Amino acid sequence: MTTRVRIAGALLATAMGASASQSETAPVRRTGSVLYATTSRLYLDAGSREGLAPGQIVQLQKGTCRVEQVSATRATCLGTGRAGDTFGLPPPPPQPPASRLAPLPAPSVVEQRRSTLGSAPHPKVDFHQGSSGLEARQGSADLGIGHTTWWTSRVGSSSQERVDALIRDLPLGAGFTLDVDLSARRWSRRSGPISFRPDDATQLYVWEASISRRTAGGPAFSVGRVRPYRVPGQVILDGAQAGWRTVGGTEAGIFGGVVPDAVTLAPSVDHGTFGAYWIGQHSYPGDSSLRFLRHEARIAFIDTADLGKRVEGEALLEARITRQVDFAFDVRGGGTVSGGVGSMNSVGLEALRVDVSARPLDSVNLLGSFRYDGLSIPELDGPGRVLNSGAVRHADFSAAWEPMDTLRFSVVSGLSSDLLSHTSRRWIGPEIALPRLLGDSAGLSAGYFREDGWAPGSSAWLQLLARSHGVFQLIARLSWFRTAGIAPVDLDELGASAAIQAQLARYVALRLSVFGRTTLNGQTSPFGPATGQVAFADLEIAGTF
Amino acid sequence: MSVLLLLIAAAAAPGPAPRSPAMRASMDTRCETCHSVGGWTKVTFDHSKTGFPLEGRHVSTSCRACHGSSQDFTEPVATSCAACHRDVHLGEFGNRCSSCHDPSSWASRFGPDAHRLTNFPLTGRHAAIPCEECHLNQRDRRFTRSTVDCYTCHQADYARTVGTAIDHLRAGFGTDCRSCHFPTRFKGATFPAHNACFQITGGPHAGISCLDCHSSLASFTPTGTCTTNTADCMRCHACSRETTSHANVGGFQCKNRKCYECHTFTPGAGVAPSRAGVRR
Repeated sequence: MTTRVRIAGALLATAMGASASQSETAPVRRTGSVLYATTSRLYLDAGSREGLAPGQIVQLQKGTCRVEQVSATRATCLGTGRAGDTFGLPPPPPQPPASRLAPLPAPSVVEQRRSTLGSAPHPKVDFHQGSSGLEARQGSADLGIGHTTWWTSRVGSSSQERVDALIRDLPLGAGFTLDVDLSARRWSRRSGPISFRPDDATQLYVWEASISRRTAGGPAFSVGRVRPYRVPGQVILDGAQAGWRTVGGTEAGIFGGVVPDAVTLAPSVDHGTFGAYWIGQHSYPGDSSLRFLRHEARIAFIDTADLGKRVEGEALLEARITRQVDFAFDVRGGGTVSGGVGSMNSVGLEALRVDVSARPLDSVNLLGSFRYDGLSIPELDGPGRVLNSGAVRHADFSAAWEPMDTLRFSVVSGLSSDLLSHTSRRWIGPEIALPRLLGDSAGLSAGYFREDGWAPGSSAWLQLLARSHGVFQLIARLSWFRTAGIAPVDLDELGASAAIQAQLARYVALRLSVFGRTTLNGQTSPFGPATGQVAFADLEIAGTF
Repeated sequence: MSVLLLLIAAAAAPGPAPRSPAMRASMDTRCETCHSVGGWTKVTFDHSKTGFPLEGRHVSTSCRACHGSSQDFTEPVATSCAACHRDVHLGEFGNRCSSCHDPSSWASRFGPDAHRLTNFPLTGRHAAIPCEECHLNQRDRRFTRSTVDCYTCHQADYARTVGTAIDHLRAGFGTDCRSCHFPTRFKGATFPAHNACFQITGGPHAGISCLDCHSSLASFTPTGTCTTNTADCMRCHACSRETTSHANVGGFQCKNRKCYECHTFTPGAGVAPSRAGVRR
């Protein structure tokens, strides 16, 4: 045996010995680390084998977390931190006393047991494919009871109580579902000049009350007060929508019914609508540039009190291109029908909307939109007064940069033009945000706008967001505004608002929103005799099921 | 033999460095990334890594409600709100619901501050009136409304002055409400032409109502000659006190007209005495 072979043999023996001893007596770990970190939960690289147990408090480098669940080698921990944070592990649990295992049974005994088990009868369990897709939804219900007060100094207050109900896809059996969206309101006090339904202290609005059945590869229909399902731009109707839905989710059909009053939503047989629709959506493989495509279209005849008899056509296209770009495009055209279908006038483009969002880098987000509404709709504004509403052009663009999780810079700009009064306003300004000023519990943001147009001015604000996930959320905001051209002097206003949402129980939440503002009216003191104050408070107890 | 030694040394060396979590998640199936010993159905997946962080009600929504029949969740899902939620605004605002709605409740968080990013900033009392006072259409939930001049909405308020102390129509006041009134309330208006006679847009008399000074304006017609002869200075300024304080002023008389012959409060003109002795 040569010297080389002896050395190799010695090394091999040493390596094998070291490996064996490592497997028998692995060194006890004294530290663990955070593998992943979400907003409220950490994933640790240690588990029960390292002595972690549910409820245990783990001391991180910065802060603590409470162990939620453990497996042998991993654990989840409720708290905040970052991936890579380390923590000390508790002393390992004492090893149970070694006990000698019973000797293995003889091969003949094992074989006897195997044959006994193999011949024993047992019931078979069949596999049942669960329901999937949108049909798997179990429905939801939001019920709320609330009170709102509006107050103006030296004028008085108006108060309203209300009950709201929103039910979505509630299963009724046999594939039928119920959708309801309504609000009942009672004015307990109204002050000042009133434009909206001044003589109706009690008001009921039903936007939707329909029974539907939508199954993939079969008929799809809704009946009742219907908000036509994914039919772009279609007004609600008392009637029905019926179509055919393919397994892939493509749907085509028709709808028709009478149209309720625009202000009171009272049923009316004086006006109606009918038409046809198309819905399609497709997902593409992950390596495709086009990831998702949705296209919807509608053509309808509509007879309403405000616009008369009309024919409308609308198409919507929405696409996700790679993981970085979302794009939506909606266009509507139409024309007034005088004397019946076929004699149309003033046919043209009535609405156009484009929305684009892009995330070229993980830290950069760009949003832009353009909206054109060319249709002017007459509205009865108080007794005997008719105003023409609508006909606007709006555009906005924002860019945000997040160099780190705790810091975000953004620039927001926009333009809004009224095509009837030929007035417009523009705004642009920066915003800086510290969304994780105190971890996930609190964030702060501040911004400023410079405004131009028929009512030029400036705005500045400071906003605080504090929350405990799923339990409590507070948004508090201080604002300052200066507006010119809207009063005899430049108008300075100071405002404060707060919105609180507290989860009182599993299904019950409290929402409180308060707002106050003082208008200086050319004075220097915010609460001088010539100033004006306004306030608003809204309290709601909401149940979500 | 050298090769053998290297192989032996390599075998005895520590294993490769652990891969990054992202690598692990994409390259192999590690159940504990999402599942825990609490049960297979109790899934904790960090959805923020997908570019669509789950907030509000989305946290408690079942995976299938959005991902449908996809078995491995790699099938792309549209991230726009309208892909799952019905648009009650008939597309008027596009597909960016989150700029107004809270993901935890759908409750609107659009308020007077946000209204500033429109063509009509809500100032004064406009910031605290129900939305329906201007946006009447409940059926389509439309919120576009023409930005009209004040008079279009406030015709009734203009007409309400007929027969009052300040009859706008009789006085020949125009309908450009903004030139006199503040958006907080109609009372307490300024009258810019008044400054030529007596300043009320600033100084100690700013914000005083017309009838706090004028005994009557029933037959008021603005002529610009400062001769209504209805200003009642003595209502606030007691004669006894003013006589004492003006003891050394030649020609002083405790008469209303005499007051504003000297005290116009117009910047750069007249006398601006202290407010001592003013009875309010």
